[in-house]
Amino acid sequence: MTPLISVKGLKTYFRTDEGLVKACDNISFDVNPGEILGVVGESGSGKTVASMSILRLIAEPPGYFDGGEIIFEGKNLLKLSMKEMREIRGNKISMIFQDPMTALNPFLKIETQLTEVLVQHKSMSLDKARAKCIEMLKKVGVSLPERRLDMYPHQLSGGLRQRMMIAMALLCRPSLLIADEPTTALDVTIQAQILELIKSINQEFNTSVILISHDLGVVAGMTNRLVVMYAGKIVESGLTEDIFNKPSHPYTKALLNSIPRIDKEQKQLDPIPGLPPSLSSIPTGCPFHPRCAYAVEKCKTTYPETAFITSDHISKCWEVSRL
Amino acid sequence: MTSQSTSKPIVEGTSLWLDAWKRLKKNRAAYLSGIVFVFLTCLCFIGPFVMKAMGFAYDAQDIAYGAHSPTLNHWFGTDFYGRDIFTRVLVGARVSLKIGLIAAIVSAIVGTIFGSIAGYAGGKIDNLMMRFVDILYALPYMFLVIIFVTITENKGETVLFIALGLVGWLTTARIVRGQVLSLKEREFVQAAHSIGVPAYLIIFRHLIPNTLGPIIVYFTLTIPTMILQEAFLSFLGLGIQPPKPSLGTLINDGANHMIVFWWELVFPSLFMAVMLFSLNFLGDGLRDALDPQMKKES
Repeated sequence: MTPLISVKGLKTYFRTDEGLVKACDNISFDVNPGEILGVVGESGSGKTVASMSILRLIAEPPGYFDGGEIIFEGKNLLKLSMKEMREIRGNKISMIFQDPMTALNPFLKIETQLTEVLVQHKSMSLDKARAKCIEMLKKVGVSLPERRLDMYPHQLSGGLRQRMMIAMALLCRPSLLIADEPTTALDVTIQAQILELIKSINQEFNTSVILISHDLGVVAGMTNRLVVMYAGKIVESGLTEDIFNKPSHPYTKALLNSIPRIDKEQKQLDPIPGLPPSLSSIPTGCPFHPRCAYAVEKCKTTYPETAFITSDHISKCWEVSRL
Repeated sequence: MTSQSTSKPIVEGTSLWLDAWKRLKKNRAAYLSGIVFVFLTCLCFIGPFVMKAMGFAYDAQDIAYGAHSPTLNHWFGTDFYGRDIFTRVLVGARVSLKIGLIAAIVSAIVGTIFGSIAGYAGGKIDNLMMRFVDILYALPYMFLVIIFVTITENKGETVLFIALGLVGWLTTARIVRGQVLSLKEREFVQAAHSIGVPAYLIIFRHLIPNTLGPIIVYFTLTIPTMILQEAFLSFLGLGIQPPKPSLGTLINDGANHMIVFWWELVFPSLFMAVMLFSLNFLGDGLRDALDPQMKKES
């Protein structure tokens, strides 16, 4: 199967006062048509930067692409002009943001913000766009869509606003939807509803989804494949099932051990010792070695080669055999 | 009839503007000032025509009558040439208001566009644009105006617009730039980027409406400043030329004769003071009403 989008060796760096920050360092992954890819990792591991790089939403400067390519529909997104990029944003690839409270413009009616997409990409008249928006709002489970369109963001609840954002992202029927921690700012019951919605959209419209999260529980139930990131690098990737059954990187293993499980008797959780490294001073060798229980001398000096557990389950660890 | 009441929407759409309006109405001083200001403005624009119809045109002289203290016919008295001061104050205030309003509007528009572009572009362009503002700031504008008036040998409203407009937009540009600098990092701007909205629409549709609060406040506080500046320039003889009155020239004339004809100074000054007070109170009230941080108090 040809992947819908394929990220190859992406390097997104930032020049800052503290030095060069390698937010995404040599990242490669594919998203196949119709699948949900999960990206997990701690805060500051480069998940968001990776997704923003796809849409070229990185502020340049201070950010820049040091190398790599992102192939989408035969074109390298990193080489496109801003005008060509605007054609893709919201039209073929769209994004849902973390906090629906701040991602809608407080001064504009919902209608203005939703129709903007259609007017921009499909050159639709406002009347037609409005009808289309109402249709889409019904699909994402917004009650009384006609009335909600005339409201301002502050009159809507968090869950409703996130539904609005999802509707906005889907209006042009994009082939790829990037959901950057879409449920972090919502309470648990609403979280479940929104995740359900994303899943049903994935099935109904055959939209591929990149689901970014730091919540392994969310990722487990939703995704087909998984990418685990640490300190700007991908440390493990493979089928979600495989990773949960046989975590093949000490970091993934530690992550899984640090969350409570309902099917096991546990007296105490095992947190990962230490702190994630600052991206401007990443440890030499394997960036995880200072916190790793399996670290050996070699880990301190040399970055691990790719170890294949199965043909599509890879891990970046020298000590895979000991796990 | 009962069916009608049940079909009414449960939640009325209230915009931020409606909220602000409600808060403004609660602020007695600002609300009253607003009414006073609207009343005075209407008076200035309608009054002179009524007075003219009644035979008191602002430039109608009656030298034989001469300067006379207030009577039932001439509420504010008459000046040395027998002109009705009430009419002259109204016409003068109209000229002042016109200059103040237009200069404030022009400087708000120019400043907003300039500031938002500088703030949005950032980096070198921002630096270049804002240093230009700094240079204009540093020039002594009174000196500029005097040179300008001398060179063009043209005194009157146009010169005043240009002179006042030249300095007025600088502060607005700085305020708007500062606002835009912080606003453009907000998530909704990024969301707009992520759906492919072009830069000019982001500036005009997403950024500028969010800066309107401070702009409006600064705008209402600019009008009195502009009126004062106009009065000052006219007082120096650089602005409006007689027989056309402005508040500045009227006060200047009044000041020359104040020992004998007190009403020539007192009434124009009072009128101007009331107008400026109401504008300042209104501006203060608007600032409170449009500041979202004040929301919890209402």
